[in-house]
Amino acid sequence: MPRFVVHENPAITVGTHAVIIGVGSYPHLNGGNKPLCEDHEGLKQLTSPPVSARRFADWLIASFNNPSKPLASVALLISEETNVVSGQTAKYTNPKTGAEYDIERALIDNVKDAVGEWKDRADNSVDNMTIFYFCGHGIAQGTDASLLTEDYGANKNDALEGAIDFRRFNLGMLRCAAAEQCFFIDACRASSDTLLENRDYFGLPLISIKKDARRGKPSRRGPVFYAALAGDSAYARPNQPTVFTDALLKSLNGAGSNDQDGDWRVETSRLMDALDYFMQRQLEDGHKLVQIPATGDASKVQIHYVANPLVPVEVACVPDSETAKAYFDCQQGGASKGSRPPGEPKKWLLELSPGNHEFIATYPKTAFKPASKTEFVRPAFRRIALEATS
Amino acid sequence: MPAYTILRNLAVPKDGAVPKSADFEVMGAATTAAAPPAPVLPQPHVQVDDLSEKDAREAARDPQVKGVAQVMPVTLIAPTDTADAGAAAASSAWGIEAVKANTSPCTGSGIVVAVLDTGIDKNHHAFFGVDITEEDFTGAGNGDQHGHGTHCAGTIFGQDVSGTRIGIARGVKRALIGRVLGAKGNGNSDMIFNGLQWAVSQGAHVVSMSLGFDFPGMVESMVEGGWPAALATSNALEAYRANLRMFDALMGMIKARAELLGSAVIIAAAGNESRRKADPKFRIAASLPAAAEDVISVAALAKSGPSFDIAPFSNIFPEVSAPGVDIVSAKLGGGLASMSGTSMACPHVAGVAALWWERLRSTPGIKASPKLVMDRLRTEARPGVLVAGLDPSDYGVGMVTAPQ
Repeated sequence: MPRFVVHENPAITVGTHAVIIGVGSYPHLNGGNKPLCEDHEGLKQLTSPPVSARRFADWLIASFNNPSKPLASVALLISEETNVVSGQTAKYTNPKTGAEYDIERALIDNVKDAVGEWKDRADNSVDNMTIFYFCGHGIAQGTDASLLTEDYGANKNDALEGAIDFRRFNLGMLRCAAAEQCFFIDACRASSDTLLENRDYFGLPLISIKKDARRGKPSRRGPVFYAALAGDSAYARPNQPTVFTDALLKSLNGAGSNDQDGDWRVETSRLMDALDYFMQRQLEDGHKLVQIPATGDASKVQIHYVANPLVPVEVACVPDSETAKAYFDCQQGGASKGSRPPGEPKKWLLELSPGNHEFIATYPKTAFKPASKTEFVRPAFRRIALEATS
Repeated sequence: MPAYTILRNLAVPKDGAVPKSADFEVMGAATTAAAPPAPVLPQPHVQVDDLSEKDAREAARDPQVKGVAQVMPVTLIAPTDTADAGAAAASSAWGIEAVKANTSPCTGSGIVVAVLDTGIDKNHHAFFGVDITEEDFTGAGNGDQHGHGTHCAGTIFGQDVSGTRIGIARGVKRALIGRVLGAKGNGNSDMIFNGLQWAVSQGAHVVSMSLGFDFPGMVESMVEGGWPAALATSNALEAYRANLRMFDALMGMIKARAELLGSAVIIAAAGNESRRKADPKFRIAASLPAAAEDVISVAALAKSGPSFDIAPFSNIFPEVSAPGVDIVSAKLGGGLASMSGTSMACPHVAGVAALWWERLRSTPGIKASPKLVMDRLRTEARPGVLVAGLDPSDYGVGMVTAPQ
């Protein structure tokens, strides 16, 4: 098995190659176990990125389905307390084979090697697809972003030696023959004093830009999904997948799919709708955070085929204040697809397969008339409002 | 020690700090990535404590506390005339046609109305089929031993009684009855604050209050207790001002909650203390709660041939006016009674507000809100149906009108 790779199918000559980087431990940032670098900008240790990176790897290996570009390889780099602070080896268990792998740390040299090898694996055919996933600290100036690796600040005179210049890396990837390249950047894009002072220096490009890199090759479709708008923060609950990655995994399971080709395929434009929906749903629950996903290149790529997409559905009464009094029921072809008794003031959330469904609200303890609606449920999501009238 | 009403906003931590969001990791420069805060809904809470003046001042320093006011007596706005209408009520109550409820396609369906008054005789035939929730704030228990609340409720949502139509919004099927006045029609200011908070929290769309703060009663009580008249008046005036500020603070919180949760249109009678018959200049200004911000205050009108005239007792500076003389509605114990007063005009406006709520809620593209309903009450009111020569300070913008 090549270095960094935790899943490989050598029989696949044309397929999808992924590299996944999750950085939670930063020894030279606040709370780290090495001298704090001058350019720390208040950044702290994180627990969510290693969890998020593992979950994304799990999903790819266990669930990814693209008949024309099957999964060929997955490389994984993680920096977490286990391998950075405790001096042990981080492990990853392949969910398909059960094999256990030692995970290498997301140091800039490792990242450079892993990304170079990943690019080379995908370079054998224009029909390949690549997936680049990064979860960790990010700093930005405008739309330019630096993705911080574990050793950010290790060189006290040049903290950005431990960072990826994402704009240049993205342009450098034009060298790669793969005509479909997806980038998922789960990091903050808040403005940075360090980058402001350094003007045009954002870290290492990993792959340098080449003039006319696509000459003789088809144009690249390279959608970029950011966890936040330019200038904004990205958030995560400790020891859980980030807000963005959680939404991404849910979206890949169907909410981000379209059936224009006759079957359900997660494609980039619909994926954006689903990401936005799931992220707002996570963050609307009583706290004060705002995080809006953004895209840098919205070109269309069909990423994943879904046999039975699950569509998030919200059911509530109009007015909202009556929702707690309603007994909700959902039926399809006479069969119940779920129900909820009265007593819960929040919207009824359920996941349904696409198709016509009847939604019914009855009010056992009030004089309201039963209300029902038949609606066609399809991705990205559906909101159902049932009138509460006397 | 005197009793004080304390209004708190429980959404504000006691130390005054801004509430922090849930414990989230920030994956970047936290200092430069402040997200705009989502609105924090106020949580009004009213309590009564016996406090010295010093302690009352100290309590006001708590960041949670939004108002401290000495408890004031409250009284129903007593009808100027009451008569058994059992035999006389062959026709419908004249106020129904005057506000054009008889030609409105709306009935108040789906609207929740609250009445803060002396309670209700819920066994009265007029309330058959209405889901009534009662809450007592007086300590005397539910029900109505006075009749004022029953009469007011009948005008808002009462069903026909022996063929006589008394209700403006007969499609209202859920009512909240807050008993804030006792058997003699008296109560305290804290009961009103608690009742109002309760009604809004229970989902009322319209709150009707035919009652007023009893400033003269407070002075009289203090004088009877041995206070010099000047000192009693000064003390009562300060209590009145503090209660006005508290009412405004509570209304502000209700308004802020309305942005996200929806809220109620609050309607109050202007009061009956004017004496135009004795002296045309004897016109008294509307009292609390009618004088508070964002409360629709209501003057009373009487029939005058084909037009309508201001009732001689009706206080000035209302926002709107409505029928308030010889109003036939539900009588305590059954049957019908006729009463006069701004107390009777107030439920007419409450009923019309319920009709407008229904209209706006069923209009595509419009998100019904208390503000929109209040706008309709004002803009659709008709000054042209009033007799010539009246001053707008008497009638506001005119006779309220149901949606057609």
